[in-house]
Amino acid sequence: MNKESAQRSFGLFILVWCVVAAISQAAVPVTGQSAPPAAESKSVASTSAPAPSTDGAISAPAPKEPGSVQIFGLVDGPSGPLISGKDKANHDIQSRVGLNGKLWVVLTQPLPLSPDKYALFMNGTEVKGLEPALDGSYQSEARATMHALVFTLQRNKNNDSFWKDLLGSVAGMHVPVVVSLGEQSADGKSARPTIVGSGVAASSFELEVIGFWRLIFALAVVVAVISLVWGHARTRTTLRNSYLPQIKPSQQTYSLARWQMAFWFTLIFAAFVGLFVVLWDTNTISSQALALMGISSGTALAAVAVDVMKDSPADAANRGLQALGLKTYADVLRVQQEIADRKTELAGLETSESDARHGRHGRSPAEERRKQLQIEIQDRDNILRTYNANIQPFLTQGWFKDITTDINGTTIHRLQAVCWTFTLGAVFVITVYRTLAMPEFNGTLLTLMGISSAGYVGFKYPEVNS
Amino acid sequence: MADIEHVVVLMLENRSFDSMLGRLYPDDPDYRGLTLNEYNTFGNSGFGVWNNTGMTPATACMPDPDPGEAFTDMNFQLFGTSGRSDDVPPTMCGFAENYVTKAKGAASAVMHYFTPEQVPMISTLAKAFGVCDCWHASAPCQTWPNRFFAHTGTSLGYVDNKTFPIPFRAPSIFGRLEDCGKDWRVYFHDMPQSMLLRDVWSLATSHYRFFSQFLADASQGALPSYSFIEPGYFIDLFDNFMPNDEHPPHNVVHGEKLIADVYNAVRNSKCWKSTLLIITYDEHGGCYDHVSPPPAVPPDDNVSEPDNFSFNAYGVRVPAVLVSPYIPPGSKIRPPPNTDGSVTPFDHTSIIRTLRELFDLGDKLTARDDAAPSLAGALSLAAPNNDGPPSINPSLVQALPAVLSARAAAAPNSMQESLANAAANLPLSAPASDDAIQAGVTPTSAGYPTVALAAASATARTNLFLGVSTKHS
Repeated sequence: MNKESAQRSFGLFILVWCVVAAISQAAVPVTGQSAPPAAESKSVASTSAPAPSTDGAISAPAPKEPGSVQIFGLVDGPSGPLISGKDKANHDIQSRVGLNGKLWVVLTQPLPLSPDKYALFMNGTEVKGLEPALDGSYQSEARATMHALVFTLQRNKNNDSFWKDLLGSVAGMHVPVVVSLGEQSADGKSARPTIVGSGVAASSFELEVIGFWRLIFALAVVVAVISLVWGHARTRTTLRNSYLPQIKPSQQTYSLARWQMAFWFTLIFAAFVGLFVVLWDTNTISSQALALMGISSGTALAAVAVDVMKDSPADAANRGLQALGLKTYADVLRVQQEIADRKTELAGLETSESDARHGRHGRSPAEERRKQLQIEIQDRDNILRTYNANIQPFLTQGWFKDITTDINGTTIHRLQAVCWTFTLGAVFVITVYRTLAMPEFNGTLLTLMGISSAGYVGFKYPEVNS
Repeated sequence: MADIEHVVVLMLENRSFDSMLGRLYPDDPDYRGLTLNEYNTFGNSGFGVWNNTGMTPATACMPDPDPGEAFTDMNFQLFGTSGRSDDVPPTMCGFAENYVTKAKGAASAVMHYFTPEQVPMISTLAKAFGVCDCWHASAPCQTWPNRFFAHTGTSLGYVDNKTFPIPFRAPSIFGRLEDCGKDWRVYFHDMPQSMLLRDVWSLATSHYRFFSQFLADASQGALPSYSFIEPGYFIDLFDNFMPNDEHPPHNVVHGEKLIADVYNAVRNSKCWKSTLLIITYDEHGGCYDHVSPPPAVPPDDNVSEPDNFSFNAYGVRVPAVLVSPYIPPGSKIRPPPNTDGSVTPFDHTSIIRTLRELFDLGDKLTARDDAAPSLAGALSLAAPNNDGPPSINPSLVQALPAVLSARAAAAPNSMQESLANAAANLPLSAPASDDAIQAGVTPTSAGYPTVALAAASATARTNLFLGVSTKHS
């Protein structure tokens, strides 16, 4: 695997769910266009009550029995088309109601109890912790006024697990939901869904997981950070060792410790942004995620400390190159340019030499200059030969080889650190996707990562001196 | 005659016999070491030989700065203000004055000597096997002339490093070994000076190896007939490597470690019982020695210009230790007297003479090696019974980064500058055959303000020439 493909694969690895969602969204307009079939919702009791028409126009309700309240439809405001049911093309309607939005449950007739006595159910599960519903009046397109209950879809500690169950592991930007209502018991603690849709379509809608522009914003932020960290790694020393400043930045070796640090930073940052745009919550970084960042930062810091602790082969090479006047890569370029300049001048001298030689005895000024130029070219060439011979051990051999090998070849302590980093990274991504929360790694896993990093730093000490 | 199949020579840099081994046997009047009554004068002051206790980095780097080692400096060190004369023996009176006036150092620095405790590796081997207290540099000249004497028996009239044309055209012992079907190798650290010999150029890629290969070859019992080891002349910041050639002011502790590494490798090799290890230094490097160099047989008709020196005199004594299980412990190895009762001292060409003798390599290379006494006489045990210490353990010294950087930023010494200049004039690859080798060219000075830049030139071009990519390949 070369370094470019490795970086590309890594970036795709992180963005996979965002990309899937983006593709899904790109193929489907916000409303009114075709969309892939929604996942099968959790079953709820259905009725044979007439459903609203597919264009959202409201006809007169036809209750199953007099006095029986049913859900006529769902909307996102006091007027406008229904967000439940199907559109004209018989596709599920992609609503704009998501977390923190208001869901209007339009009823076939007024409720007998006050609104705060009713609980909202989604997919058969009570959504606890919501503020009491408000009364609302819905003006249908047929100019009929209907009673509605208005719920604010808040997320708090009382319903956090409900929302994560509902929104986690989604394959697109919407999740199918069937709504029902239930009267709270006298103690207000439990309820059963008793008020259901007049038909399945009447109480079903596609809850928005993430809005299109929020997705674009999140992707832009994450891509910008990834570009900054990993894009720079190709041409600059962001993730490289910089053992010898005389080497071109893009030829420096990749640093395992810096790569680890960047790996966890990128994962946690992307997860943070992703969770923020889905849950609208900034309090998502778990203490274990912080521990991972701490371990990776500590590893990088310790690796730097080991590098500077004792005189290393790189230090020796640096001294050797500095003694030749090569302090930075710019000096290497300067010497190359000096050789080129002298070769150009030498070529000019050789062209005119035959003219200068006529009638002269001994060396002409041109010959003297030519000899001088040859010596100067040779001296600079010797410097570059010495430079090229001594920088070889410090040149990159590709990303994967750099981070898994030292100057003597592949080392087990580096391989171990790489394997565990990838493994825990994969666990991290999957957990965030499935639970909409950063994982709570247990102490054993964190200790494992710590041991792996400590082993790397410990073995790096003799590695530096070898 | 001892059954010697392998000869290993380690030639270090620029230390006199007295400075390294002068007090090896302080109570033995027969040993030609220091009595502590030796001194030089400068102005109205006398500067006796001296030592300080302990072994601080400052002590281990003495003399610092590097003493003068050009031909004119050496003449002054040997003859003082009176100048070189073929008629008057050297008085060894000008070391202190030359150091003050040329190197701008404190006069006492060149009069300093190390005790055996301060240089335990070479001292241990000298006592466990044999020490030569009568081994002189082949000529009172710089490094290159003396090293070329060790390889070819002559310097072709050149006395200073920077004047040599590259490649050096005199036939060498390496070529002779090759012609006779004997295997040989030069093991080096950064840039082997011997690589400037013309007759090794077409063989260089197959016969020159980094020092680490010597350790491997010894371990596997695969030493060639002749191994010549060149120390690291340059600092290598990339490997935290300090020069281990002991060239002042380089820390002798690093050279001690090299001596230990070489001995331990040979001692624990399957080749041990049939190996002769010679540890010596190319020249005295301005460090004081009290024994006057005697006259010598000129190697050929070449004379130096403009000094008109015919190489009819040896250089200053240098340390030389012979190691072999055929050498009795505590030996003081001296050349046998000539038939007329005179004594020809050992010099670097004794190595050539010994190799010719041991491996039946044919006639002399020059008149100097023809006259040189062989070292084979030191192998006096009937059987290889003296195993010496199983190993010797040098103190571990790691130069601090600040010291390394400071040394790298210093100006190169003459040896380093000359090597870097020569390297700049090497072909981009070793010629495939002798026919492809062009005439010698005196290296153009490129000018290297720091050791680091000189090292970059020397090592980069050496690696190109030998077709290797890094120091350890």
